[in-house]
Amino acid sequence: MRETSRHISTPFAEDRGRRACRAARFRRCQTVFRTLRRVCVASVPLFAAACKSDQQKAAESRQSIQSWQSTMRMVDSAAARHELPARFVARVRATAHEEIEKASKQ
Amino acid sequence: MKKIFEITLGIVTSVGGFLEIGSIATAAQAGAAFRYQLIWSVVLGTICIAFLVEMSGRFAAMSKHTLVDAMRERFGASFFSVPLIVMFLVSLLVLAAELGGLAVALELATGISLRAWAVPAAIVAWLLLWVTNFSVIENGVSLLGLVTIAFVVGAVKMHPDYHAALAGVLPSMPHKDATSYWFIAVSVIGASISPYLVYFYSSGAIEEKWDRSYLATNRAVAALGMGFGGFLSVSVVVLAARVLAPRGIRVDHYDQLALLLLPPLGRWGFWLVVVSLGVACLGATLEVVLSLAYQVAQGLGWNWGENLAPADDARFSGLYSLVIVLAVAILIAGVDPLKLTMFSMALTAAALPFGTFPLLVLMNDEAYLGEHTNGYIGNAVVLFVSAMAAVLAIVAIPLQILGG
Repeated sequence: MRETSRHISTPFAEDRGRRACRAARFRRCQTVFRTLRRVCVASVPLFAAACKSDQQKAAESRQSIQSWQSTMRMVDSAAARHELPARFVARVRATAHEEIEKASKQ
Repeated sequence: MKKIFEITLGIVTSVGGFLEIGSIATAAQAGAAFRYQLIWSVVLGTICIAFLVEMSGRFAAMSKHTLVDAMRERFGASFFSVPLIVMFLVSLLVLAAELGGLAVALELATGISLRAWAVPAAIVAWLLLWVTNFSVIENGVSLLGLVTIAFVVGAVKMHPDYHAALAGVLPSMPHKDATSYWFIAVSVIGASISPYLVYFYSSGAIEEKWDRSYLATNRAVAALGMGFGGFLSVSVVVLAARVLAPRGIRVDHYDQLALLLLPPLGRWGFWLVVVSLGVACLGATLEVVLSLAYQVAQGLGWNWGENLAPADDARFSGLYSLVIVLAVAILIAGVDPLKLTMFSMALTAAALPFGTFPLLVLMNDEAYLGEHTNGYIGNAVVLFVSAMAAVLAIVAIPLQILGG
């Protein structure tokens, strides 16, 4: 016989205890679920704001193009002063062209 | 005299070992995009890591336990497995990023693709771990890391606006692009705090048989070493703010990182960035690999120790070999190393509470530390920074992904 039966003498009481325990667990789950739902609903505007509009995307593309054009200018002037290895200069030019093309398509 | 030498060596190696790919890349992005405005995130991260390192050293010296070992003992195996798994996965991504940084340095130097360099770089790291001992890794590679002082020289030569830099120490709200601002801020904090460093330091203290006579050394190394290390990170922010931001250059690619020292140091500038990147990433690779192997071996009760011959701790040595293979696999899979770095640093920030909260419980346990338990300030700083970084990361990472 289980030790608990000393305290809960009848099968009915044991069953009632189990039901109460189940109900308490259900209430806890319900509270967690409701809190999560509230957090999700509250964060929808935040995430919606993070989804960029076409205008924002276009502005970012322009910024990226400008960033790579400036990179090329800096690399070209350093190369003219023989401050950078030729291999590196060639690679940066190739990467910059690739990135500018990618940004222009967006 | 011996103590002074130990303190000096400890500080020098901490400074040399502070910068790694995460700190360099995140600090450069912060400076290029927001000039001096994000210096506060480096300062906050540095204060927190100084406290964490001091705690882990004090814990090892007083209790003769490593943190992982004590965590399993104090909380039980099932609870302990949660931080172990989280920290292992995050550190594995950090390792891939560090190995990527080393490969990028080799690519910048030779022009040969970083994917081709991933395997040779990993073999060099593995060989160093296999044939050398803890002191060589801790002192040798970290001493070479002092080359990163070039960033301080470069920053000073660019005549920064010291008032604006000082104003950046105080946190402020972004004037533009809030998502990017918070994402870079958490990445900088994640890169500065690096939990792998805490496990590495704690295991190193046990390997070098620290006792209570090392408490003062530990405090000096944590405060001064991490403080000067943080100063190096701030120098990278300042450099990017003076060199890249005025030209409208954002750090979207490692090639742009190589331009940081060009205006102040000319021809030498390019090569100093390459060497700094290579040495810093090699040092960090070795530390992360060892830290990962320490975590698992100590958690599972295996023989461990970088000072033991591989035959005496076969599972430990086998594990770090496997971990290197996994990191190489991530790199070869074609992940962009800069994106991997930024996300692994942000994930590190998100996972911070898993490492720091159990540590705080241990640090307040008199059974381990006697009268040397934590004070209120240490508890408050670590609790506040970890919780704040985790909340910011949990919000900023999905926003950044959603925003492209």
